[in-house]
Amino acid sequence: MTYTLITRSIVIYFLVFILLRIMGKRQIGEMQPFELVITLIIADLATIPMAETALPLVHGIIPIVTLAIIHFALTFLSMKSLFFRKLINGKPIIVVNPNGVDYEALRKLNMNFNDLMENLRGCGYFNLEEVLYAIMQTNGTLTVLPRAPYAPLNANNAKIDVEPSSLPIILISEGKPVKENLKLAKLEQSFLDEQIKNAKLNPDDVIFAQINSQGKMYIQPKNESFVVIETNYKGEGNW
Amino acid sequence: MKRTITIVVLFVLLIVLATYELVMVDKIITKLDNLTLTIQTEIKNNKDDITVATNSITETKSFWDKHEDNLCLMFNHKDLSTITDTLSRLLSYAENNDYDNAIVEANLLKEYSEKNRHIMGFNMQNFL
Repeated sequence: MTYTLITRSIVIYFLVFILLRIMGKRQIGEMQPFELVITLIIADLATIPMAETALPLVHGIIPIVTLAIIHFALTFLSMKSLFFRKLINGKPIIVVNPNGVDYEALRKLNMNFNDLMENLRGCGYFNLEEVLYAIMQTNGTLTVLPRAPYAPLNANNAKIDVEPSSLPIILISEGKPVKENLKLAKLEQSFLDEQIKNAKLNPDDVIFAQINSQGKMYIQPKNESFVVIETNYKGEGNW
Repeated sequence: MKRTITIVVLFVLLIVLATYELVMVDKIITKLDNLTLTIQTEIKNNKDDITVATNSITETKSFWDKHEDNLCLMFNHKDLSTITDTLSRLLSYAENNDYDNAIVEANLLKEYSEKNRHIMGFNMQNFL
């Protein structure tokens, strides 16, 4: 019986794992209502045949696979048709506009002022006059467009020049060179060794290293503080 | 595209499995029904010596044992074991020429086979 339970648990775990992977990577808070419903039901269905050995495993597998197919069908329809998208996901609702709070919209969402203020505070706005628009998205998150004087300062509205953004790539992780990333960045192991030597570090002590397309390299040795060095790398790779 | 293919394959597999199950269940239960009817008739026609039904019961039991494993892949084991238990009791009563108990078990077996056809099949009652 124990072997049966172990085998069943493994099968159901991997089935749910694979299906959830295929279904997407959204977090619970980002799920559309139909995705949340399917995820909750799948979680419940998975446990029934896992422990009840009198029930065949297919009693769990078939409903789970059926739900996954329904999920794909709904996702497909909502991608292809605007009508279905509105029907399945709903549509975003503007709860705060330039005239203030839209009370009717709040009521439609079953929200009160406390809920609205809680959400606004979560977005970093403690005063309603700071908000130009607040929109309740279909996945239940509130997005806020602040009035211009309260908008966060950035390089564009401050009119200052900044270095172009670049995505760093990890070259050493857990003390091991990431060969795939070295290849992507068109770098050799010898380049890594040379930079570590230039930083006056022992290669065996380096547990993490990353480089950006401007050639700035961050090196984290074990039990020592990190080192940032400038290299002659010009971001030749594609990542 | 890969995802769509996976879904289409899963969908086709589900349909094939469901159809195969329906056909298989119908075949097994129909045969069980016929065998049970034979047992009932033999017992009713030979009230004084129901041991003549032993062969039919043994045949039914071996048929059921052969197919029970396959059905276990799809149905609740507890539902299936009621038929196995009834057949074992029926065989024992027939061997001991116990008409009263044997006819009760034979009737129960008929009831179970009809009930299982309903439970295992695809119909409005199960759907609702």
